[in-house]
Amino acid sequence: MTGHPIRRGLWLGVAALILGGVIGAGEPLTFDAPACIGDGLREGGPCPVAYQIAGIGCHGDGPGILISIFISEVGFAFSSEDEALPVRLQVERVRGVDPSRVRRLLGENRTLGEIKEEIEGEDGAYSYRGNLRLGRAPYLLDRLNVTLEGGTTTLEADLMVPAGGWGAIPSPGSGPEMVGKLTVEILQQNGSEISVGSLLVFSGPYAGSYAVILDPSIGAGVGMEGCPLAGITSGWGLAPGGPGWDPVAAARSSVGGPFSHLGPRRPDPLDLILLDLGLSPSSPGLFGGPGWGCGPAMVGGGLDRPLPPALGI
Amino acid sequence: MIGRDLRDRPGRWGSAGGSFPLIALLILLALAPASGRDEAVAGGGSEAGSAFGSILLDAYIDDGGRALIVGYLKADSLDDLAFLAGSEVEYDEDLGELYALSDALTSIRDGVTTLEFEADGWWEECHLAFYLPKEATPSAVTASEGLEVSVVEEEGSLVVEVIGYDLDGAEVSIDYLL
Repeated sequence: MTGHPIRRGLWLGVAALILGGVIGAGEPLTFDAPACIGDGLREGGPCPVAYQIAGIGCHGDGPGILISIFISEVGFAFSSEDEALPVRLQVERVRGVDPSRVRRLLGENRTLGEIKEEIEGEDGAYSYRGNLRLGRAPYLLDRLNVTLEGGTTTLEADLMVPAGGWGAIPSPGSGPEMVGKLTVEILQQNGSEISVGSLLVFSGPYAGSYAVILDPSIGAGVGMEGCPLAGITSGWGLAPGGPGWDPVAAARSSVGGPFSHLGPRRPDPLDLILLDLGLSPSSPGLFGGPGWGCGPAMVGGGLDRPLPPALGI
Repeated sequence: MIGRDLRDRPGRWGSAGGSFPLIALLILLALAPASGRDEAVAGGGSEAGSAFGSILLDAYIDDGGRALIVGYLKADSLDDLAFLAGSEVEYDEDLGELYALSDALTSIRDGVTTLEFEADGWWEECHLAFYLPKEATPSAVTASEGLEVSVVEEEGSLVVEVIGYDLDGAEVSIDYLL
């Protein structure tokens, strides 16, 4: 697939201008978060957002929290035809609870305190669950696997949709249908964090392959106070559609978060304008993702690496 | 690869053709005032925080309709959360961890059990999982706008899973027979 040269040039120009804006607006972000090795997933790097939210590792190891946010990120999926779709990824870390045991406790008319004590006393294993929204299509994540290697956390998962579709009551014995694969690497460098990966959708309205760039979507809603990591890096490095363009490589060569210095959710006038243009941006829109940023610390932009040559600036 | 027949799908943008330069300009315009806003938000904090919340809960329901609700909840106040009405609640505000024991989440009429979950407020993230008894046969599942519902059988339970983002309130209603 090859993109139109003019369009490609425009992409490059926009990327350059955006990066330029980030350079002009931002201050390098310093980061002194402690290393987070609580459950062995991350070592040697700054404490990732999810861990701070969840209180895992970095904030003491008290009684196991049943459900916590492990990853909550928003970003974009780029197809090889220079199309961009908003993406939202959420992964929860969940402590296993046996529903039948809970029902037994409920049936014994235990008090809440007693039930809580029983559950906290269980040696429930942790697992991950999550969901992803691509454009306007939601997917559940299944067979979610999180691994750490060399400071890079890798998340792999199958994309699932319910049998019969969302909202349908399935016939007995039917299960969710696998419709895609997701792989995301959370990279850390010099105190910055960016998630890049690939997304393959086998069927449905968004069938295709995509490069994915994600940025921590941190806001007050997920309990962050200082936002030490959010929006540090999430560059584009766009040269889509050109000969030999590798979207994943382009994503990885990116620097500077073009939208990372945007503040928390605000009304999205751009969406309205785009609607007027007939472009139907999907909610929450390009800049509308809540939790983008949380103050001046977000302005950093992580420009601690040279600009990619592909940008030509 | 994505065929051209898919180009008009909702939510897709980037193939705007002649509109692209205008979009690019709009992007830059949108970026321009961001720094000033960030500073204002950082100074107060609450300006940004008051409108957001996250609700990630599992609800385990027994045959009698009694429910244990556990999970992660970040909200300005629990007072507006109808699903907690009449419940015994333990809430760790720092961790956002909620335990609630409720007899009021379900009602039975003409042999049909109805589970009604209602949480007003703006929810940035919403993920609810209702673990109904395995014998439950759902007859109707409805959810408020923006929520997507999945019904699956899991070991020992019928699980109604609900997900959504950026919601102005979250309501779920499940009718089922036992």
